[in-house]
Amino acid sequence: MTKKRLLTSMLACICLLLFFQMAKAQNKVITGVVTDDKGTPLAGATVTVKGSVDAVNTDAAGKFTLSVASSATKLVISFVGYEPQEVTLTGSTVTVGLVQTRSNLDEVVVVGYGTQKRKDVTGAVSSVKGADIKQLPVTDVTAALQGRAAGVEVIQNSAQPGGMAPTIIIRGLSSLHQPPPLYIVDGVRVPGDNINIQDIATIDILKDASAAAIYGSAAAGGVILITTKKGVGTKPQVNFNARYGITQPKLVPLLRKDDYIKLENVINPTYFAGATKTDTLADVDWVHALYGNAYETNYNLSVTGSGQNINYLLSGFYNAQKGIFVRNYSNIGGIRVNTDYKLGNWIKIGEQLSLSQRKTEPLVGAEAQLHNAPFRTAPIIPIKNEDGNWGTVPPGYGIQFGGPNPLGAAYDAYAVDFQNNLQGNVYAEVKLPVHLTFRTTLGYSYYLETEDYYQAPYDFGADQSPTNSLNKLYNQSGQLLDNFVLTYDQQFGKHSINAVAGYEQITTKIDNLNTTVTYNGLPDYSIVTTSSSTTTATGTYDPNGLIKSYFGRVNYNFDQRYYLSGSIRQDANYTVFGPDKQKGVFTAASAGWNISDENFFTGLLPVVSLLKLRGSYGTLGNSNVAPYTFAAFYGPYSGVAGFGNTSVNGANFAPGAPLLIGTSINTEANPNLHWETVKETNIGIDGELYKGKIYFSVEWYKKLTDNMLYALPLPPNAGYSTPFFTNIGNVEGKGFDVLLGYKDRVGKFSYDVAVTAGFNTNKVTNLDGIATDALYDGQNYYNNGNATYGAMQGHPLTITENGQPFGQFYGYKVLGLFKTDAQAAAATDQPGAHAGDLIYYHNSKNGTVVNTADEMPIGNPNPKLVYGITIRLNYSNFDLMALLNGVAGVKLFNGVKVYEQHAFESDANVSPIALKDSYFGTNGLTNQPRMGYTTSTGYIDDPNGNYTNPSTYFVESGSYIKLKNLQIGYSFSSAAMERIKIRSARIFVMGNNLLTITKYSGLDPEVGSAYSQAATSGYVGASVGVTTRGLDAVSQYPQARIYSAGIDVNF
Amino acid sequence: MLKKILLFILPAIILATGCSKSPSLVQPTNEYALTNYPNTIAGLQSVLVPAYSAMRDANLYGFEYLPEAMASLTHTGDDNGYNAGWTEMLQTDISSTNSYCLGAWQVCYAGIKNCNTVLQASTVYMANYAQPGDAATVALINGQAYCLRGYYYLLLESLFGEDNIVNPSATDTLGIIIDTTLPTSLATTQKGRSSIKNSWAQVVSDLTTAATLLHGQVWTGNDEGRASEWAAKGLLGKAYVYMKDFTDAKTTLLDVITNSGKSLMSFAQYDQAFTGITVNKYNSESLFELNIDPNSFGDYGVYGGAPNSTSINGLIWSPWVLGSDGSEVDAATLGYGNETIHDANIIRFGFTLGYYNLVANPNYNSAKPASPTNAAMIMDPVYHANSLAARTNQTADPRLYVSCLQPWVDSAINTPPAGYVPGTVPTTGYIPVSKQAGAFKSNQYQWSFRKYAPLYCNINDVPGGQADGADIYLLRLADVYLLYAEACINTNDNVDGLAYLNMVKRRAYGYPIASPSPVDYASLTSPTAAAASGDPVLGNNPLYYERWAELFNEGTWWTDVCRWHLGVSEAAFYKTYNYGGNTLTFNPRCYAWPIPMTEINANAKVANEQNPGY
Repeated sequence: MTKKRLLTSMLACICLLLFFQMAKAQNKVITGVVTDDKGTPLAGATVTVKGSVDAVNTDAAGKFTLSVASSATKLVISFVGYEPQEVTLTGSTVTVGLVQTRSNLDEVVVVGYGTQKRKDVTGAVSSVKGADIKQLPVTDVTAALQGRAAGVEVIQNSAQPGGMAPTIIIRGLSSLHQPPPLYIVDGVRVPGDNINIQDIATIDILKDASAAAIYGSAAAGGVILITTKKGVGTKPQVNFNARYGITQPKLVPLLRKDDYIKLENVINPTYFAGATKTDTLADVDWVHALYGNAYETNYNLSVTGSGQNINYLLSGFYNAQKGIFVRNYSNIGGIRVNTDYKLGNWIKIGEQLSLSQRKTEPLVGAEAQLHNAPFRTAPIIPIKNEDGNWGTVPPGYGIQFGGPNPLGAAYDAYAVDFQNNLQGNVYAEVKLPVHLTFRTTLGYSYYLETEDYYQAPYDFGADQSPTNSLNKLYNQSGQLLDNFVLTYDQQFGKHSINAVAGYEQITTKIDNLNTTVTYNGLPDYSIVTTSSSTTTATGTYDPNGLIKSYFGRVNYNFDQRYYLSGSIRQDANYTVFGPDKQKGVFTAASAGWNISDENFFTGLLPVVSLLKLRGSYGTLGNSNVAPYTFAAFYGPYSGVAGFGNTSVNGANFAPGAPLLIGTSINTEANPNLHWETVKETNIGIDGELYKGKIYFSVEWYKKLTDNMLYALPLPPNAGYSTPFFTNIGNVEGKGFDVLLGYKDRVGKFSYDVAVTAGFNTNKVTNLDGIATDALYDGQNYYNNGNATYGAMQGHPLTITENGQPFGQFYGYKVLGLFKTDAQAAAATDQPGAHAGDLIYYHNSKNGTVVNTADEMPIGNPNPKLVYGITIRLNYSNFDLMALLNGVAGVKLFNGVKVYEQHAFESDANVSPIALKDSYFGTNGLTNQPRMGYTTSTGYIDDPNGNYTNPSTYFVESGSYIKLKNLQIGYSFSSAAMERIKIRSARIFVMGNNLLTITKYSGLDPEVGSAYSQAATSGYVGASVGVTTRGLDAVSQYPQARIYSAGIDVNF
Repeated sequence: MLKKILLFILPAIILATGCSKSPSLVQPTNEYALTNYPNTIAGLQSVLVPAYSAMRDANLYGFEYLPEAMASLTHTGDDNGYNAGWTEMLQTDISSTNSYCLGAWQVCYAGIKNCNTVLQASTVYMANYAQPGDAATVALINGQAYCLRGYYYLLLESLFGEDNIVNPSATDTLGIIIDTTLPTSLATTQKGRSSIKNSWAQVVSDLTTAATLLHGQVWTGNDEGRASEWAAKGLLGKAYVYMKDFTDAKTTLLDVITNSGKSLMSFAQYDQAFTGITVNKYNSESLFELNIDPNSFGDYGVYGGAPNSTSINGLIWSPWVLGSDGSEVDAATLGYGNETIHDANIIRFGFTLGYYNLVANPNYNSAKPASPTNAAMIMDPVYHANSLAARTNQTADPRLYVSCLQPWVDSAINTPPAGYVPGTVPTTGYIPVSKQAGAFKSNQYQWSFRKYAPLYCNINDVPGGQADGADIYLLRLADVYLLYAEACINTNDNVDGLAYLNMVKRRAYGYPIASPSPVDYASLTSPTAAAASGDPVLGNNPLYYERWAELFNEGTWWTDVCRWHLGVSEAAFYKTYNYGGNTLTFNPRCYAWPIPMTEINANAKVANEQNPGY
């Protein structure tokens, strides 16, 4: 039915086209050329007849030809970044020199299915220019946005090449299933952040509901619109740039031999009691055995150009990053082709095509889970034994070491991972009569990841396995997008109307295979089965993904002073919600007022070149839960642990009999599951003073998440290990986004300093419907998910409960350290405590002694303020770009400190600061709690739980300011260059992550989200660790500094 | 021309990519729909599999329940408590957040859910897809589901029922939550506890139904280990004993003894019936047994994505052997080596030789590298000889050596010879058993586990991944004999009671069970092997002692401790945990495990139904 209707309208449009050619009347022809103030031709400038919509763009030589009505008297010439100019028509030729503007108002902002001038925007949209991020040593857009847009928090907490993308949170958390932002590249929705940042012209971030509502159900995490570069200039322009940088890790030190023996003499006194030959023992620095300096290098080559009816961009890049951990790198290369063809005055077609391949040597290996520092080592374990095998604990001491040789673990496995990405789209845009434009886009994204992982047999003494295994992984997904957009754009006198109506459909297919063969015949990536081999395979093919959407938007303004806008979108998601619940409707309205254009104002405050007030309200949807959550099926049984642990899905009834595979019902259906809705109000004021020398934007917003998607733990008596998904609870978020800038030029010196700041608070409200008291998460075990090994076992580290922010830290409140044994003995609520133990707050209503009921929220990991400062200075041929970023009003849980100050197991090492613990050796009372004490029968480890209870001792302020990036460049003067046919050249040096100012005692206060058991079990979403923020856990790839130098040449 | 081409291309693009039809309901492509599955008997059999396999969950017989919870709680094993829940088990002072209590609760209800799924699926199958003649097969499937559900309820009630032993027929003390159908909404998951009486009634009902449906069915070949009529009746008899209905217990258990066709195996076989030897599985004494194959299909035992039929209890129970240099200080273990046998068990079994010392090995050849065959220090040879004599002369209960490995006297294989086939007994590669690694502890026994432990290969080295080989006995005839003896004694039939106790003991000492032997108990208060240790409770109570000794480390003793309220005396007997490091006390609230906090937090109906003391 829908198909038929659409087809009819298409045919009608095509018929109309035939009339279009005849309908045009011509009067006089104006030709001209547009240049900048130095006389360089400007391609793509817009030449409009004042009071009409007739317009053309200049060609690559800055020339234009325009037919105008004989009554026309003035042309308006405009170009992004230049002051618009009006020219009175006196003859048939015009020459115009445009002056660069300081104002941002004429910037074109992409707003979703269309563009607007910055001045006309009524929603909350932040913009970042491609040129500002071009040389950042990152390979994803998210990382490049850090500190550059108010209200956009980006956390880069790992130097792992090709690892997890940085966390991005726009205007604070709003859901337990916080969706990632939606990425739109050149108008096409793409699955994730995957683009060469050097191809980017501009990035626009839709932050509030009114701006984003046109993207409806996918936009609750914000929308990031990326526009790639287009070709300009008559001659092909070639740009080549390259950089190379050294990466230096930030590391935690561990005890070396002498200090280690000193420690063991206390905590495991039998090991070295009476030992006489300890000088022959190894003294290995395991931290530097595993971590070291690495490099990052990047090459980019692009060719752009344009002709009468065509413009093109061809670009290729290669980025190689060696990890700071042994055997870990990630290299990515790709190409992009962007072309637009103008086939006539009424039709334009084009395509964008991008291909990339990333090759990664990932962190793999049995027992090789990476840690901030390899605490489960001992310096006296050699890297290799004398016989050439991986080093093991020296015999004769009775040392109980059950762990792996971490270097051996890394070297006894090898893997290679390829990620292939194709993103392409073709479009056609047709100008129709009555000021309509029709555009259709067909986009296709394809992703293929393959990974081969060979695990060799290993022998690390107590920890060994004779089995090898080969795992081959193949993940493929394709997404086909069509959209059809009809745009109406017209001015009637002072009235301007822009209206958009469209239909969009996204279909996705996934196809994956994961297979493992044990006892592979050869130690390589080919499957060679042997008679001992077992082969297991899992795979899914699911072509069902389907989202269908209808949308429309009307923008109206009167005299560019009064603005009104409204939009509506209906989305239907056919795999996430059940019958009758698939559709959601999301609407928005906004209004704006350019006060500075009012007559009364112009006289009043002439220094204010712009003052705009705007307000909006809108709704967005969130469906960020797994497909088919609404229903129950028969599937593999995965035991109490759930999440794919299907070892327990087999049984047989005689020794060696064929294994029978099970099926069972594993969830309780909720056919009523439906959209989570975010309702957002935004009020903003934008201003410019002194023609843009000073510019600012302040926005206040309030977000309310309604019918939050909530994974309710079912009581175990129901027998299901998966949660029950329902819609319960609200989240309230509010805050301010502030942008303030100052820019000017004084002779050869020009500068631009901009500050962005986002203030945000969130809290979960109205969880009344749930039987559970709270949602606990967070752990600091040595290996993720292994509750039986590591520190603080059995204690969740965060709590999310009614009336409180997401994921606050949870534990005991520490009142201080017992200074004397007498003082400790007097504290009857902490029996057995001694001097040097932590004093815990205890409420007598919880019982006679300190117990788990005394645990409470002890710190909010959601920053109250996230800010960035960008500085750009130019003096003569020198330029400097700096980015500072920071957060304030935030707490961190220093989980690494737990491991640094106390040996968490008898086979663990510690950092040198442990030797400063109270009453260690000859220490008296220090500011660190004691690790334990020695009695006549032996060493008693930490009886007070100083290092096994989460407490405020580990909670610290996480406020910081960082010099994230500093770039200093020199551009060679063109005269010298021209002789060697180079148009321009710049050399630069750059430092990344150079300096951090903080009181935080851990390695780096830029902490993201730690491993989340709740996410693994499906209780919270996985895109942002909502319930494990600010948890500086021990299992974490360290951060690094990068020092680079590079060159950028234009031919 | 170009324009004309475009006029074709544009509509072509639009048509090619036009709108998809809106589906009303989509299904995942990797699971079966509730509406049309199972539509074959094979499908229905597949639904039955998780009713069994849930038992191999890491929280039950797959890993943690026996070695970490039960062995600690009953002081079978001794260790330092590897996590908070484990330490609580060792202390016999459990809290409502104990991870093992939660795990057992979860796994039993998951198993019950799986059984209820079977019953629902067979109703759907019978209504829509049944072929003529399917009814009998479906009845057997349902019979197994009822038997398993009865088993899970029996286990739940034994662990969590409010001190049911005191008054199991009470209607005002709380048993467990009863679910006989799958929940249909959030509200139906909110359920209070049934009374103890009704909880037991559910166990009896399920097992009785199972016995009826499975009547006459003899499982053979690849189906040998399925639940049978006799498994159901044996469990029913056990339930009757636990609920103190000794009259029904006697009838039911005698039916099993007389009609099941089962008999106690010989001592020689018994000695090798707990160590994963294939030929001894499903022996004459086995009534219900969880098949454990030594093949993890590449998984880490019960952790991973490959369905298998193994367990990894042996990681915890792994014996210790001398280090590669032949020393105790560098002893190696065949797994994690967390636990050794609690010293008090050694003397309770009647071992009276005391501790041993290491002496210089007179045959040590310092020119050759030290090794287990050329150790610098060895067990005092006199003590070694006396130990062997104690075995031969049966001065200690022979079940000591069925259950435990003595350092230096017994041996195990860490790295088996090439070509080792799990399930068989290798002939070479044996290394003497040792105390745990570390300095020699002159005041400790530290024997290793033998029953259910890996003896012939480091469990990490089992081809294909960590895997046990020993089947778990869910019910065996010796247990039925002892239950029957208890039912007789409690119905004033002391003669039969004593007779069945003696039959079990005679087999343990290698005598024919049917005729009197020199080791017979003369009366129900005769001294037992534990008398030598001065044990005031088991020392002169053959019923208690036989259940303890015969079923040592099989996970049943805890229920006996609770039934007979032996917590305090057991704590007094075992004295310490953590190798003498901590003093034992018993918290009487542990007689009933706590309803796990996770259940209370998510189920408003049990919010005020916690067991006393928690």
